[in-house]
Formats: sequence, C-alpha cells, structure tokens
Amino acid sequence: MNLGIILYVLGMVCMFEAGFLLLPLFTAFLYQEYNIVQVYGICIVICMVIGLILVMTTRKNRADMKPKEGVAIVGLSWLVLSLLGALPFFLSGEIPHYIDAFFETVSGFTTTGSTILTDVDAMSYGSRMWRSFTHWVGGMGVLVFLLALLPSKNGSFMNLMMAESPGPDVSKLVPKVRDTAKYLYWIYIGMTAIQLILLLLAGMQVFDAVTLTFGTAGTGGFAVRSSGFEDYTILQQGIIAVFMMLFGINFNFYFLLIKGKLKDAFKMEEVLTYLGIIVAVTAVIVISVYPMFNNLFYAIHHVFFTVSSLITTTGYATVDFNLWPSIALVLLVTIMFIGACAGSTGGGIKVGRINIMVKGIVKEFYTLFHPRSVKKVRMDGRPIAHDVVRSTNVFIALYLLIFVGSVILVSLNGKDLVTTFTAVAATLNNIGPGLAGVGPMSNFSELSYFSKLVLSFDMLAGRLELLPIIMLLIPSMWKVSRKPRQNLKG
Amino acid sequence: MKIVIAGCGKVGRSIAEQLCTENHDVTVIDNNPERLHNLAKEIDVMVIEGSAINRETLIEAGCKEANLFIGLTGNDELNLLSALLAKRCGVEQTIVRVREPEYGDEVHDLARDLGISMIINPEQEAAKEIFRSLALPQSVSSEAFCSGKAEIFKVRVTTGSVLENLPVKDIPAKLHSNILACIVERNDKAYIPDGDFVLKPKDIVSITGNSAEVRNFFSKIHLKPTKIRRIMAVGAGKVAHYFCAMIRNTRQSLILIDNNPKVCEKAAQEQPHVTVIQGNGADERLLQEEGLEEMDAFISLTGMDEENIILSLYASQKAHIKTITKVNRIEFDELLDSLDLDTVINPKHLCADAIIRYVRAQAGGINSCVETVHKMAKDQVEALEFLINDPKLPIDIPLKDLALKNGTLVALIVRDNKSILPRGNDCLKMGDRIILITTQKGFSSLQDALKERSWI
Repeated sequence: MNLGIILYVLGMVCMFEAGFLLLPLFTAFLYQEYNIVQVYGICIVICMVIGLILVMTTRKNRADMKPKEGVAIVGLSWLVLSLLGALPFFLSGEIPHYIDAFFETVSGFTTTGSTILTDVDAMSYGSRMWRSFTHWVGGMGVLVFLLALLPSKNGSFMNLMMAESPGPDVSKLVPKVRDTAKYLYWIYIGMTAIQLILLLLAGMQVFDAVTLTFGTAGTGGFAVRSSGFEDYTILQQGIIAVFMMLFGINFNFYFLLIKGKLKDAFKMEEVLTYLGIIVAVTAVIVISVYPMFNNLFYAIHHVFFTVSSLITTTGYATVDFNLWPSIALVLLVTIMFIGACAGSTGGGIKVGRINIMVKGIVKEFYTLFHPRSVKKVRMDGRPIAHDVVRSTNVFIALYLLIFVGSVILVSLNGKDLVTTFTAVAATLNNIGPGLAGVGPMSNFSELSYFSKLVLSFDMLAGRLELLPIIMLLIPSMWKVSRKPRQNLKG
Repeated sequence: MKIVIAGCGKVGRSIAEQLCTENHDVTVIDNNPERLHNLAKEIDVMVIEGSAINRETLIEAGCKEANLFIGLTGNDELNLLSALLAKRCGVEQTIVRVREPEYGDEVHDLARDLGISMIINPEQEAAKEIFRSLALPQSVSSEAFCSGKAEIFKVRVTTGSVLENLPVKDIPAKLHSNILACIVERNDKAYIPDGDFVLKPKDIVSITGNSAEVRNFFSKIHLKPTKIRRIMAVGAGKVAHYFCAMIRNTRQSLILIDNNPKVCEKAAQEQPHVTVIQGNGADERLLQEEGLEEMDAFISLTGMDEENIILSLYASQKAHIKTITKVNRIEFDELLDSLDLDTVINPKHLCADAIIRYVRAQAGGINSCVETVHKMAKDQVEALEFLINDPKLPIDIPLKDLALKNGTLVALIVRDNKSILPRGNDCLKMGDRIILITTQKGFSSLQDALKERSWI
C-alpha cells in the first residue's frame, strides 16, 4: 500500500470540496443569511488547509497507483468528502448532532435522499442548496470530476473510474480516461442545464428549480420544501418525472446519440430493458390504483412519477404511495432493487446486471438440455467474458449478504418489519424513502444513532458498488509496502 | 493524433505506451482478450477485441477518424491487408511491419502501390544498425540523422584520457580537431555544455562534426577506428540474411555459423560470398577452430538472448574484439549496460523507435518543419532535425546573433550533403537541414526555439 498517492488524491478531494462549498456560500449570501455565510467560509478554509497540507507533504513521494490503491482511494475519498461535508450542518447548529449531519451528507453525496430532517423549511437557503448540490456532485462522482481535470499519465487512473462508476463492466467512450471523464461531465452538465431551463420556463421559482434539478440529475431526492411536491404544477412534476427517467439511462447511450450512431444507441439491450420495465410496471400499477384516483390521466401521471422516481433511485414523491395496494408496493420494492442502468447516475443492482444474471440462468437451463453445448452469454450482440458473468453473480450474492446483515443490525432498533426492511433497501439502493415508518411522508429521524451509522455504511456501499467500502474493512488492505532499499553502492 | 494499432505484442505494446505518454489517442486491436485486458489495466488506451481485417472492428476502433494505422500483428500479409482496409475506412496514413525477406526490395514499391506510408522491417533495421556500428571504434555508439548524412557520436571519458578536466571550449585547440561537444551525461543527468564546462571521468560526451574531423578526434583520444575486415557471426536468421546482403560489395569477410543444416544450406545458396559453417555456435572448440582470435568483430544473432549474451562475453574476453549482441526479449537494460558488451542491438526497440520518430515528425502538423525527433540521454534531451524551407526563418543571420532559448544548441548544419560544424559566424541558408539539441520539450518549429522576437 502506497500511502503517498492515496493522501495526495485525498488532499485534492478536500480542495475540490472547498470549491464545491462556494455554491452554498454564494446562495447564503444572496439570501442575506450572513451567519451561514460565515459557517461555510470557515468550512472552506478548513477543507483548503487540510487539502493543502496533504498535497504539499505528499507531492514528492508518490508512486504509481495500483488497483489496490485505486480502490482504497475511492472508498476513503467518499468517507472524507462526507465527514467534511457534514461540518456546515453541524457548525451552523441546523443539525445539532454530528452523526445526524453525517447521515444527511452521506445521503446527499450517495444520491440517496433519505433525510433525518423533520422540517425542511426551517433550514437556511444556503444549507438547502448544499444538500441538493451534494446530490449533483455525487451523481457523476467526485473522482470522475477529478479525472476530467487532472492530467493522467498512464492507465492507472482507470482504476479510479472503474471503482467509482456504477456498472458491471466499465468501458471507455474514447481512448483517454481523461477525455472519457470530460465527455461524461459535459453530457451531465448539458442535461442538467436543459432540465433547469425547462423548469424555469414552466414557471418554477429559481431556487426550487435549481435544487430540484440537482436532485434529479444526481438521482438524489432531497425535497426542498416541507410540503414536498404538492405546490408544484402537473407540468413541473411531469418534467421532473421525465428527467429522472433520462438520468437513469446509461450515459453511453447519449454518447452514441451525440456521435450520430442512432442505430447502435437504440440497440442497447440494457436501455431497452430499462424502458420496458418502466412501461410494464407503470401499466400494472395504474390498473391496481385506478380506483383511488378515478381519473386515468392523474393515475398515469402519479404512477409514472413514482415508478420513474423509484427505479432511478431518486426518491421524490408526489403522492403517499404507502397507501397503495400490496401489488403496487411489492412491484415498487422490486424496482427499487433493480435500479437504473449501469453508467447512469442511479443506484440499485443495475438493469445491466439483471440482464446478465437472467441470461446466465437461461444459459444454465440450456446446458441442462444440451449438456455438451458451448454457449456464450451475449449482450448487445457480443459475447461477454466469463469474468463479467462471474463478478455479476458475486456482486448479487454480496448484495444480498450485506442486505440481510444490515436488516439484522437495524432490527435491533425495534421498528416493525416493513420499516426495517425498507429502510435498508432504501439506503443500500440509494433511493431515499422506504415504506411504513420511513415512507415518503415520514423520515429517518426516529432511528437510533447506531442504525443511522449502519445505514450510512449501506448508502456508501450501495453507491460505490460494494467493493471499495468493504475493502476498507479488510486489515491486509492496510499493510504499508516497504520502502525500496537504498542502493548501497551509491 | 488519433492512432490505431493492430496487434499488441511486444512492439505494439511499447509503441502504445510511448505514444500514450506523448498524449496521442491510441486504440489497440488484438484478438487475444487476455492480452488486451492486461494492456488496458496498465496503459491509458482503448482496446478492441477482434481481427484487424474485419471492417466492423476497424470502424469500431475509430478508423474513420484516425490519422494513423500501424499494422503490427505477427503476420506480414495480414498487416498489409489490414492497412489497406484501414485506408478504405478513411485512415490518413499507414505504417506496416513486414519481416519476410522473400519480399526483397520489391516491398517498398508494393507499399507505394498500396498507398502505405511506411514499411518497417525490424530485422533489416537491426542489420543496418550492426553495419553502422561496425564502422565505429570500440566503446563508441552513434545515432544517425538526415538519412544517414550526419551522426552524433557518444564517447565515454575514461580516467587518464586527454579529455579529463578539459573545458569544452579548449577541445578544438588542444586536440586540433574541429568537433562540437553537444551533450554531456553525468550521473544520469544530461547537460548541454557551455564553453567553460569541464569534463570529468565517467562522463558520456556526445559529439558532432564532419566525418573526417570526427575520425581525427577519435585518433587524438586514442580510440582508433580499427578497420574491420574479418567478422564472425553465430545464427543465420533474418538479421544475418540482411547483414550478409549488406557486406556483399565490401571488403569484409564473414564466417557465419549455424546449427541447422537446412538454414545453412539456404544461406550458402543465397550468400555465396559468405563462409557458412554448420555446427554449434556455442561450442568453444568450434569457435577456436574457425579462428575467433583472428577476427576483428563478433556478432551473436541466435534466437536465444541468453546464448547471445554469453557468446559475446566469451568473445570479448577471449579475443578482445568488438562484439555486437542481438537481444530480443530481455528487458533488463541496466544489467546489460553493466556487462562488458560493446553494442547491444534490439530489433524490437529499433522498430518501435523508428515508428515513434515517424509519429513525432507527423504530429507536429503540416506547418511544422521538424523532420525527425530523436530522444537522447534517457529521454532528457531531444535532438530535432529541421529543414530550413521558410523565408520567414532567421536566414543569413550569424548564429551568434540568434537568441536561442536556454539549453538549446544548433549542433550541425547539413548543406549540399555535407555536414558543417556551426560556428558563431555561420548563417543558415535556404534548403539547409539543421540538428538542434535541446533539453526543452515540444518544439515544433525553429521559431519555438528562439526567444521572443529576437531576430526581427
């Protein structure tokens, strides 16, 4: 383990965080919340100082990044990012307990959107902006952002991108990691801008439009008003629903569109499956909840909004879906687990993995009938390496293990089964609200601090695709490599 | 530049790595997924699995927008064909590796007909390099410029040599030889020496000058270019084939030893001027019998790197003659440097270097007049070859009045096929080629090397 490079990148992350904090500072300034301006100013100074110290001390002795260091960097960066990001909430006294502030920040960066706040309106504009902005930053990933800005000499930075981008098999769009990262961010920024403009045209207030766009783009889901979505018009809700769905699509799809390869884009199996699931689930739920609305248009609108919100793991809600019939709830929990496409900003297991898993199962059955057959699992017409199939299966197994483990730990809190179960599902899949006690109209504030820490861990594990966070817990990861021996001959 | 490389063997890999550090967009095609996977982990390139003669694979690799396609698979014909296909997809330039000697010189005409920009033959390059280094005295190496018309020589300063403690400006006066010391390597660091730079033992000095003066200089520092007449070579492979052809019309005689009767038969048929011996080249007695000790040079060219190294060490110890060793696979450069081997030739490196030089010259763009770029002294120094073809360049201004950037030096002027050692009063003329030595990177024209607005 080479500590030099790890600390160097962590230092860079701290400095970037200082940069991110400028936005809430500016917002607070606009709304004349001068004590909040002060708090964010202090936090920026803290981040800058820590960052500078780390970067300056490790500038000289950093070696190449190996896969192990890449994984450690990703895990630690997100931890550091959340620990520092929680400071403003804590220092301003808006969230009195640090663990609550940490939970809220982790929930922001991991684009979960679970909140411990009971009254969002009581929070300052600066802090509300910061909450939503963490979604946007966390959506595409901080390290991808870092990659887009820092020059990288060799392929070692690819390890970072692989560890941070969601999906079973990360492929580059263009030969250079840096250019790939830039493309991703430009697509991200472009789509964010379009949504913002549409919301403003639809007559939304600037502050709401900006914060909700950040929440949608990162598929996060922090509400910015205590009243939730009731105050927004159907058109505004509709725009958000469509953009949630769009941000859940694999960004390779948009890259192909930009490159004019429409045929290839619309042949992406994962995207087709994803859209298919949305249509099918929406249809079934509309039928089941139709009696509650008695108006087909409203039924479709609210169901589509909810499905789009939950499959992309955003977590916005226009209605209390907690009250819907069982079939609807079960389907909703199912799509929570399926999640969005790989290579999008959404969470969950990812449609691509489900695709591969199902095809793997079909292949197994096929070999039962034809024991000697040689068959390859294919995706988008090309065979998939056995490694990818294997790691997909391992991922899903690990997912279930962490899930069950977390449910057991959170159940110590003494809440009912549905609350416990969906609290873990909602955080591990980075959705936000669960059902019952943590449903869309309630929040996580009543859970114990221990449960909050477990759920924070789940959120990080879910966002970083399990491995980087689990690896941090393995002792052999931390063996510091010996320094190369000095050449005695000189 | 956008570059597509087909085949990621040793050469493909090292070229991909080099081009990547020079900030080109590289895509590698290979049909071995494992190899590609390893490559993608270590180098920042895009990898595409597939065959280089499949149009879809080529298009997926971006051949439609690529500037350069390099064919480096293990098969000559596949390389040629894939280059042709890549060209049809829209690649601007193509480089192809062709190794089969049977194509002969015809291959260059073939390349022209097929529209291929460059054909590279590692074994032939190696033979050329061997031929060139045979002309040099022991413990001197050289690098060729201006298609062989100019060279930069590297000499090591030994303890007790005339050069020891000599300031660079005193070399011409003291040794009566008009040469220029342009780079000094000391303790792995490269310097561009000014006049007061004092040479120390163990320094490696690079010098330029016209060939008569350089020969004069070698004899002054007691490095006599021994006339090489009798050469012994072990291993009658492709390199030997090209080398034999090169010495056909010289006065050098060659004893070629190989263990394989069929190979010997073929060599004897094709190269009547060479004495072919069938026998084990690693047999001490055979080497003695054939008169190793009366030879002027020994070349080991077998397919086994270890055997080549041992044989050369043996020859240098027994007969104290110049040895040339072919190494293909072994990477331990530092270890090889520390051994008592005169010249080590690596066909794969030569091939990679030639391609890199081509790319560097192209990458400068159309406006650039850089013809070739050589990296010297462990990449710390660049030697650039410029063609003076633009009237806006500082023509007819004495060099002493040109304000060049720090660490930059005009090392040689080639005018009418003659190399001229530049002195302060010399001027550049239209059509000259110059060699510029610099520790700064990234010059793409002569203007880049000048301090701002100094010559207007």
